[in-house]
Amino acid sequence: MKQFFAVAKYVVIAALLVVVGRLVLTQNNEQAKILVVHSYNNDLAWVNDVEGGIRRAIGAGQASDGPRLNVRTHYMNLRNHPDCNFYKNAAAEVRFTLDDWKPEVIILVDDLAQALVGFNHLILDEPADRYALAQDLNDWISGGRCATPALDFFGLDDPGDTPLPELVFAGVNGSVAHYGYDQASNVSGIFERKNYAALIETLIALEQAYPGDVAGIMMLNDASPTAITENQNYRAEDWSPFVAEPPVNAASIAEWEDAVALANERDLMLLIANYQNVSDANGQPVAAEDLIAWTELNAKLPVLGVNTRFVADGGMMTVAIAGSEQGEVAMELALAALNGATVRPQREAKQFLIGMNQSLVRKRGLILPAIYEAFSREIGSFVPVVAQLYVVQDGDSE
Amino acid sequence: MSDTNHSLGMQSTGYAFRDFVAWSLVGLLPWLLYLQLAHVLPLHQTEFLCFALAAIVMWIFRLTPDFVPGLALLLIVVLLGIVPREIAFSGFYSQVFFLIFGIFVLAALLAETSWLNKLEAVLVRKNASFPTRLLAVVASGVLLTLVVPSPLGRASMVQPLVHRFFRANRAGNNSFLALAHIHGATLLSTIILTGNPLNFVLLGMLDDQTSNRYQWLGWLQAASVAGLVIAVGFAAALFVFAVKRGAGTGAQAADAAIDVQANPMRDWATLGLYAFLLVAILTRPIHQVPLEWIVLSLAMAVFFFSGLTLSNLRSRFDWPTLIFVATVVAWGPMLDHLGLSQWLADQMPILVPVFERNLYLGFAITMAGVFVIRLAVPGAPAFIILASALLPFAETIGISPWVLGFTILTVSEGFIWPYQHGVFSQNVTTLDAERTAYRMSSLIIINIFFYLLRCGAVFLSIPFWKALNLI
Repeated sequence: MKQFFAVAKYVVIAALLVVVGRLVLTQNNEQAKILVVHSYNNDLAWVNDVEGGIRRAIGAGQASDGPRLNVRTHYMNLRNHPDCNFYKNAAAEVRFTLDDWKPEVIILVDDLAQALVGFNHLILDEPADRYALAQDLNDWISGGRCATPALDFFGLDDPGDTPLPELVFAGVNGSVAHYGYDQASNVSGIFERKNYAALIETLIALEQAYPGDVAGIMMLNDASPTAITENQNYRAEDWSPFVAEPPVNAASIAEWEDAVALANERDLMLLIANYQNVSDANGQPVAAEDLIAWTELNAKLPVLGVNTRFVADGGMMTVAIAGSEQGEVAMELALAALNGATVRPQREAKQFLIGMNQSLVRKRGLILPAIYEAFSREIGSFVPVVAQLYVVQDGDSE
Repeated sequence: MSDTNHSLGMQSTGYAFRDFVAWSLVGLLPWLLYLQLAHVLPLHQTEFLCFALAAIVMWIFRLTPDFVPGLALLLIVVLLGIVPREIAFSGFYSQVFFLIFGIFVLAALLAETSWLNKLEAVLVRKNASFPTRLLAVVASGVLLTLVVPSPLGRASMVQPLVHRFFRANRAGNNSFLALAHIHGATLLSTIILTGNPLNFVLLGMLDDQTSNRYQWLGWLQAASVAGLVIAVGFAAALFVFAVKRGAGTGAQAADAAIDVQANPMRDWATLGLYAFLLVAILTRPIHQVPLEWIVLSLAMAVFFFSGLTLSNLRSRFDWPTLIFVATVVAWGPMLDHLGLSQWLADQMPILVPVFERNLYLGFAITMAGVFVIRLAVPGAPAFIILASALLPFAETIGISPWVLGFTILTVSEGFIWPYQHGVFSQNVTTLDAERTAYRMSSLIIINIFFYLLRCGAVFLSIPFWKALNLI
């Protein structure tokens, strides 16, 4: 009898374990898996803003009884390693995660992730020429970094395993046709196209505040793929009342300095969006803070940033797209796709941010509409007057 | 008698003097570092590096159990507000902590089973030849590498198997048996995630997105070429020994009586648990339950089914190693928090162009550096120093931090002289204590061979890592 109860006890324990194990497995199965892939790393304020938006949308989704989520985040860190070999390895690392974890939705943030990860997971419409698209992307990714490699180098020849996940893009500046998204049925997302109306309004305010002549504007960026797309968008835009001079993609500090000198000579206001991939004489990247501080000190006319970090990096003023909106809308679209929505919308960014460094505004003797200061104070991107800044900027050691 | 007392007295005075000098260095070296760095780095960063150096000096001289300096460092950085508590003690709730906890419980259960005793009994009963015994010792060591994460623990478990087969006048045979024992327990320890506590430290030092890739199977895949090279080299070496020493006689019949206190149900249940673990590892893409939770559930099941009593757990469970790992896993996050990772990586500007120009030369220099440091520093602190300094550097040169960590681990786990590795020194101590004849020169020569084999395995893995897009 004692033996019987001993065995029975173990049977009960085993049954309990099976029940609990089954409960865990069932609930795991019910969770929707979302992989967020950032092109860059969380050392960029932009990336953290996007993350903030994603978390906000997750919170809102959970509060309204949305699906149970399992969200993982992957940083490709491509801005800190702008070389083809690193791009290849980073793309392979994401593919490994995708094969292993098999998420239902991938949220891809910024351009490079669309090319290196998104393209392989498209459900392309019948007439789409996958090979031609892959060739174009291959050229675009390697452009200016390495000789165009074989198609399998970045893995563009190898479509992901079926079932293919839903794709949601965010942080894309130009068109998504380049990535084949317009010919695919599993893509939705939000563009990060600049708010040109707001930019032009701010440029007009700067022009009016600047005592000298303003002959026009010129975009200056580094030579990264994102920056090249940025310059293409700049060309396509109508900047009236301003004359828009041809944009410059500077790969080296020498080219950057030449571009600033050119703008000074021709009385052009500079617009700057991407500047993390400018190399010095030894081929090492120039620190963003050093580059922007130098530019601010040496540009004759006011310089307007088009980037969240521009003021934190030492710029005077910026009008940028809000990263939080990108993240929030992307996650909302991901949740909509999980809930079985049949339409795959592509939204435009509506929210923009203003950043302002009052010391630099005063240094240039500009008087700007008070609304700029009020708004940038409200969103925490206002840098008040710092006495020390004058000392450093003037090169005065006192 | 008085001579013996006198020499013992001299010896203990020597130890006391050594300890005095060592403790003085614990205070002096960080002070010198402080003077050096105070003008270069902010206060908190300088303080952290000084306290870390003090911990390292304590490890080098083995002044306390290994977990004590680690824990003391966390304590002081929290007390001084250098690092927030959540970061300093993050190792105690990291995946690595639960993984090791679970694996240690399973290993403790395995140590309770009688499988090795049964193997020993069979070998004795069948009067096994020298090559068979050699094979049994090696196979046990290698198999245990899969399931027992401590090389020293594995060596102790295989010890009875070896011990019985030592013969008084056969120094050659005894040496090779000892070598098979030592290297069987250690050679593959970095190839398999669960083979070495420091593997878990490396896993814990990687960020989440990277460490996901190196769960059990992913780790084995990335280490497979190195493992294959080491295994082939090991097999070739054993083959040569076995052929040379084939004429050895078996154990004497008088030794044959072995009292095996068996509990067949527990023996089979343990194998069943490991089989379950293996299936769970292989089917991870389907069930998506992280490895640490699987291992922890199996550990819970052990207690539900009364597999281990509390007293057995107390004696078999390696708490100090668990706490040690939990304290050092936080080094990476603490250095990141203080912004010191990049600073440390920047201290090695010469290595960057070397790696960029010639990868093999870069690896050779790294391995040579590990060798030199290991001449003076024990394995665990050597790994922590090197990994803290070099893993951020791997990011700079665009190499997977795992690759560099694995290289450091594999080379740093190698040894030539007894003082360099616990398993070797314990073996030599046992052999000496039992007055078993062996040839130290043979042991050293073979150790050098195996050291080079480890370096060769890393070199031969480089093309494979390139193919896996890790370099």
